[in-house]
Amino acid sequence: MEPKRLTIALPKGKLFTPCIRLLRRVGLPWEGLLEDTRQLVFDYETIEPSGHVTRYIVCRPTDIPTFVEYGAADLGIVGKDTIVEDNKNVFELVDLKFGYCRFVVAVPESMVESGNLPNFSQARVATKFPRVAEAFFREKGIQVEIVKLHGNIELAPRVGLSDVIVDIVSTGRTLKDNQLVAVEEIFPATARLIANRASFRIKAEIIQPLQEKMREVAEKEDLEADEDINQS
Amino acid sequence: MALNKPPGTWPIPAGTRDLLPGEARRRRELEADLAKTFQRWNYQEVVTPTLEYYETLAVDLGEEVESELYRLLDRDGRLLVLRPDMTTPIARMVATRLRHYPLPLRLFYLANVFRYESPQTGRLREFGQAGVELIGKAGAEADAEIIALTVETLRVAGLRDFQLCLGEIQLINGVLEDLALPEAVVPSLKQALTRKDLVGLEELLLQNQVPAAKREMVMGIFRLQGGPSVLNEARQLTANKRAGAALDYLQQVWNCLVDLNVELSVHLDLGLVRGFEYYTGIVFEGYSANLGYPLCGGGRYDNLLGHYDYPCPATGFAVGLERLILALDGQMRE
Repeated sequence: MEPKRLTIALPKGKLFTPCIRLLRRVGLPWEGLLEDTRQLVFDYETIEPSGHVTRYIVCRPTDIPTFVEYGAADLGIVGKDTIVEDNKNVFELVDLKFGYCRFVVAVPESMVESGNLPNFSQARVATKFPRVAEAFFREKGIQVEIVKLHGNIELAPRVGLSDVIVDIVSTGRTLKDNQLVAVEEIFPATARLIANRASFRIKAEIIQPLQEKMREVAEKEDLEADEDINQS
Repeated sequence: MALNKPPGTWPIPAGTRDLLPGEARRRRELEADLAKTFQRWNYQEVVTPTLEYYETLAVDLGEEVESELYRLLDRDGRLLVLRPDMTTPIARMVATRLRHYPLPLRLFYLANVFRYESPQTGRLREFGQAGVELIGKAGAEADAEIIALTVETLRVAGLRDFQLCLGEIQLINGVLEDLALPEAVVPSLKQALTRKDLVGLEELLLQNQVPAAKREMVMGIFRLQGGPSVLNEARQLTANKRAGAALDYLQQVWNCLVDLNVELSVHLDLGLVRGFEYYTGIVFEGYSANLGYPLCGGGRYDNLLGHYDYPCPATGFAVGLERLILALDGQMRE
């Protein structure tokens, strides 16, 4: 019988290197993933101890929930921020603990005085995450106008496009550089292992032990630690 | 405005579809095969109206399904809904029109149902269901009959690689009741389980100061999947009475499935919850290798008929016809 194939969607960008450390630590193939090619699909013919061969799809983080929901990938690794904003029907199995960031509401330094939330009534809110922003303000009973942008949200208040922004921050550096202050935290986010609903059942004998291993590694190790991955 | 349209561009609502001659024939042939199977198992067809009163139907649907209802007003201003499933209308029909019939009743249907979901592959807003309800029969044998008939239905349709996952709502209720959490928290825990958001579930337990040992216990049980050995594993983890009874019940159902020779198509998933609120016992979902969504689902709903003043146990399942056809197509391409 042909071995089953396990397909994992991996995010380009800052989560990529910790992902590869994770793959290596749980004993999945990772050779060649770090080479600077434009290759997007990686197939490994080696049959793993649990009897499967592995394929990786490397894609934009925001597309990962889609690949997984449709079953083009069985598993995916992606930030909680993307999962929440995308609202796709996928299973969320493991908190991988890396890629920490927070959703915050931020205002220009000059506005901090009046920065308590009720004063934002009818304010214009620029964000890459309209669903998160909308839900947050609706729950607080504050009416705002959401402006969707695709990047560099911090620019919006400076040029008068919005009064407030909702964005993800990790160190807070970008906010500071742009004279913005976080006045409210919405929720924190880290990278998660997500699974397709059908794969989770049909490939349970592969996915179940793998998610256990990933949980253990994520509990114990700092996958963002600055080590040269090619050495060990 | 229509005058300026190029010919051949009249739209239909999102989430609906036409069936062209070949497609319609195939769909009707599939329906006929399924109907024959249900009849062979002694189930009789019933038909209920597409429209019902909101207050009649919205008794026990659960938040998600409730939010997806198509609502409309009739000319007297009464609120109507397009039926989101067939189980509730049939419960209503049995409790009113069939309440003097001898039990158990074995009923089947082929019908379109309506849910305002975001449309994508295999998820339409109007979709066909074939299903059965076994009303007036409690016990593992009745549940096993329904599961075996689900397996038979998928086989008759020609599907080869599929798997049913079986869980028990009372196991989940028992495990959660053991935590003695405020009542308001329990629905959000169940919601996280329905979405299989295991990270979110653990976070909720943490937020509610559930001690580490209990958290491990809960997460351990809800992560269990596999053959009947997981029942023993779960017994090691919980001493809760209700949970224990649910595990015993699952064992009985499993034994019946072995007798019926269908256990190879079934696997246990002790964290399985379904969107409908009316389930009270076993629940199950079916998956195929080449479709990212459940194909079919069902379970026991012993309280639903009670809402219509005709308390009696019941169990049943439905299979989504568009999804079944998608899975069959996927299988053909392989």
